[in-house]
Amino acid sequence: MSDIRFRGGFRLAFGYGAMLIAALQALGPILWILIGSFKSGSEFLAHPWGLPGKWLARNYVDAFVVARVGDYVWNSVTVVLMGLSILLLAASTTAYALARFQFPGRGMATSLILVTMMVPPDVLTVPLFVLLRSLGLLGTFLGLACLYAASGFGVSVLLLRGYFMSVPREIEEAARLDGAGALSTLWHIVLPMTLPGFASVAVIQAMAMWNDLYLSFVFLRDPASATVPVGLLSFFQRDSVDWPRLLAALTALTVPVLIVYALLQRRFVEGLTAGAAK
Amino acid sequence: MTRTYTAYLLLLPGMLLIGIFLILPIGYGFWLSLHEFNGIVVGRWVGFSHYGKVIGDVGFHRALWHTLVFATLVVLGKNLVGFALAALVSLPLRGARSLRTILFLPVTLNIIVIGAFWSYFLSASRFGGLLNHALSAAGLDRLEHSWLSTPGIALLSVASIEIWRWAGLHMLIFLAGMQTIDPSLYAAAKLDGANAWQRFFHVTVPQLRPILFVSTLIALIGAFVRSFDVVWVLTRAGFDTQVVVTYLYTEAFKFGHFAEATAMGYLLLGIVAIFPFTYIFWSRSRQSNE
Amino acid sequence: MSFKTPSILGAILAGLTALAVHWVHVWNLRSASQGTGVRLVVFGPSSWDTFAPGATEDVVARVTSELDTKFKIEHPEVKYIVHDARGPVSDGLARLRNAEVADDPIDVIICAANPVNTAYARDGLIAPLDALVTRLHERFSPGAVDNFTVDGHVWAAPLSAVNLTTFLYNKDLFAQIGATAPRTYEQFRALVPKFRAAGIIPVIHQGKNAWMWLFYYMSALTEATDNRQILFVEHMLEGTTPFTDPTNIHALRLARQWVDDGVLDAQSNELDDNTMKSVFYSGKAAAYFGDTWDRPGIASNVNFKWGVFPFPQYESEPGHAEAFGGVESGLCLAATTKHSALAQAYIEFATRDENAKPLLAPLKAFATSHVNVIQADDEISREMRAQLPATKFLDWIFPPELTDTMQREMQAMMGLTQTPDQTAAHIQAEYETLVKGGYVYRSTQTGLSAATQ
Repeated sequence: MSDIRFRGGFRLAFGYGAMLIAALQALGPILWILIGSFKSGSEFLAHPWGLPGKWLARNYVDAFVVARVGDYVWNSVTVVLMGLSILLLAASTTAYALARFQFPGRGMATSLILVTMMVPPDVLTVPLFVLLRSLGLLGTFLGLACLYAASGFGVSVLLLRGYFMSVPREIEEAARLDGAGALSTLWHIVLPMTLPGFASVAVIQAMAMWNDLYLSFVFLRDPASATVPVGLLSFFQRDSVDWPRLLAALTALTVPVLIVYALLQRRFVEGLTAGAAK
Repeated sequence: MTRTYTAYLLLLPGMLLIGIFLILPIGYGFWLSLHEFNGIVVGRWVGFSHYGKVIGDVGFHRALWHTLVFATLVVLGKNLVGFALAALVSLPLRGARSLRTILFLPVTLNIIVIGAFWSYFLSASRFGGLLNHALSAAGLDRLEHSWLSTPGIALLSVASIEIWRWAGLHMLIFLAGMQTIDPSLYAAAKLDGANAWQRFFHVTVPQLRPILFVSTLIALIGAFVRSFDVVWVLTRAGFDTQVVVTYLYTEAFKFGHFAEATAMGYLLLGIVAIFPFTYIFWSRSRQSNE
Repeated sequence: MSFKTPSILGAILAGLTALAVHWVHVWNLRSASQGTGVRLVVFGPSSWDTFAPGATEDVVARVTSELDTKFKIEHPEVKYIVHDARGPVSDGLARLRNAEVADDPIDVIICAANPVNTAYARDGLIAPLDALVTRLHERFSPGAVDNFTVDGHVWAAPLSAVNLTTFLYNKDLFAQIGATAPRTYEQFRALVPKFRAAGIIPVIHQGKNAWMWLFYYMSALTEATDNRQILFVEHMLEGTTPFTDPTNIHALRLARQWVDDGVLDAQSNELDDNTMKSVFYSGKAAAYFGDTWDRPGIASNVNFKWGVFPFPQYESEPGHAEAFGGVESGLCLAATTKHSALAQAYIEFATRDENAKPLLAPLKAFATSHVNVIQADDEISREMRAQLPATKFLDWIFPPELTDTMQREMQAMMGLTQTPDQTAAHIQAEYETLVKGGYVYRSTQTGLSAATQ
């Protein structure tokens, strides 16, 4: 749409106005969190809005030293990386098969995947417990990573299949005529052409795994294995939450993720539009 | 190596993953729902009596109704807002690219923080609620409400917050879809003399149809099956916002009625499955009629 | 095609790395539970279930490790003592259940009185401790063991501060309108116009947490039934008195009066614990009905003078107000423990006066589970002690499904969306549904009548 010309200042103002509103509604809570993370506990409860009287960086230090948030980050990174690898591998191959191949049982496979997406997780708590225990995976990172991968599988397959289907068939046909196997085509042609979609799926799923509280709380038994969301629970004492410290921890943890996301945005999404102009 | 054989090989890792970690537990869970089960000890076989009990339960009917209202609002909202945002950030305006990152931010927020922020924001102005305070300052006192504790309004508020929370995700889905549209289609349309609006409606929108289906499906599943967090943290499922998943949780973990809760979960699954499968049948029959 | 080999090699390498990480992790987990000597696990279903709950983390860690060191000297066969307490209070039951289902090694459980009464004992998650606690009964304050007595058995050795329901109020704001703590409800009601004129909210409540509304109902019922509320409740649960009984509706009306008369803010349902405390701490509201477990939070967060007063007396009612609560936490024996004798030794050790004292001291409680543990001596503590002995929370007697219904119905009533009559009718309907589903009331009280089975 790069040749849209905004005739007249009104349309331009409308466009920028809409952007401003969109930005504010997304940034509002972020600013609140950021400002709140510099207040003291009592100041936060007494004055949740408004600037802090004194800007305390102490909350950030406390979050890492006292609450040992750093330990949890290491656990989270491990589990998310493991889960993401399993997920992306399984989801890409499955999505490619469903997008480009005709075979008996294709409808059944799609239906099966759909159905597994629709089961409320609470219902599966006990069965998953029993399953992981018999597999010897209860309390392990690998077990949790597999659960994460399985729960994100359906959505990822659907999305990737949609993106794969929009790749022009002629290019794939050409590759096939050249003697490339399915995996090669997938790896060398389809994935590079759908990189924005693939990156989006990866980011979305990584976000979900990073933020998951429920599964990690139930299935990671050892306190030393706790991931970030589970570790953050330690900020909650009965009914009184140490909000500023919690907010500081959350800010410190979300910022790196956002930086990675922003970089991915620029690299992959911009890269494609640049390539298309050639 | 035939195409079929290759396809099966490609499917293998995925099917193995969900076979072990989803289908097996789902089957076991279903088996459990046909017995008496209190979470620890499996009792005697009761067939479908739990299902019957749930179907006849007034509380379940109420929760189901709330869920339907909630899901309708949320699915429409997520798609409309997500799509609008995707269109907005595709415009050649300065800062549109940074806006993409900013609009994704709500998706990254921890649910507890979302709950805290919106609870403070929507409370009465004398409690420090910014929205009500702004309304009264603008002279619109009559629009002030207890947004999260009035039956009827509370569900709408929760739905709006849920839409707000995930709009960035759907924007991303649509954006990535827009980026993978073959640019030659646009070039061809331009050659045919189409302007920007016409290109949008005749190239972008039709090409995005599979993405729209996926986005709707994701929104639907999120609203029916994964809405526990947002409801719980904003209203604790009170004030007529009890949805099926919160009702299920209470039955299972507060009262210990695990078997009934599991039956409820599978009934919900059945209801949710109606939507995509109806659509698939309908589009298949349309294709065979063409 | 030329990328094939390195890609495959890369994938294999990644897979091996993942497996290596997994094996190292599992080995770490296993080695933590091996070695010679016994490993005792002291489990806390939620993060509140620790020694000295409410004190800062370093204090909790210190008193815990000091206790453990002393215990290991007396019992050298115990090599490690592990403490695992995590998560919010509302998830505690599920966490304990999951741990026992997963066959996690658990020996001692730091358990709160509410779940012991409503779930742990009857769900078979803990083992009875009659013999042990009876032997030690002189250590404990009157009523302490009662709070852990279910179906005629004792399920925990008490070890905690005493907490009671009470009004907490901002003395400065009351002084501003020239008032002191009200003794009767009518006195409180008379203060409302003065509060309004000064722009102060008289009373707020964390209405979003439906469970807290029962405090008002229980207090009103106590006065309405001339302090025979437990018997009355038992009659309702046995079915001999309906929930729509005039006395019960009257109690609901008494609770509802707070909102109708403008004493209690009509929009309290918007507030959860945090937002309510925000309003109180910032001096916008003068008082709220809560519990003494809020004391440390208030003390560290406010800069105004504050105090406590008991639930006011309704001039029209025969009974007097009672505080609810008492000893609220103790040490239980896990049903799945493999070291029953050592676990019981730990429980006995921790509840010895000389060991309990350092565990209870950080709480600065006005009263504790132990007769001989010195209590705090400030004005508020003395006022609270004057309200002892406490009476049991009524929701320990109701079945959880009924409690949930009552909480939600009260929430709706106090939010002005239904009348007391409707509230009572809904609760009665739920009770009848439960009875039809097979509910029979079994008394948890020793010596009081129970429905025939």
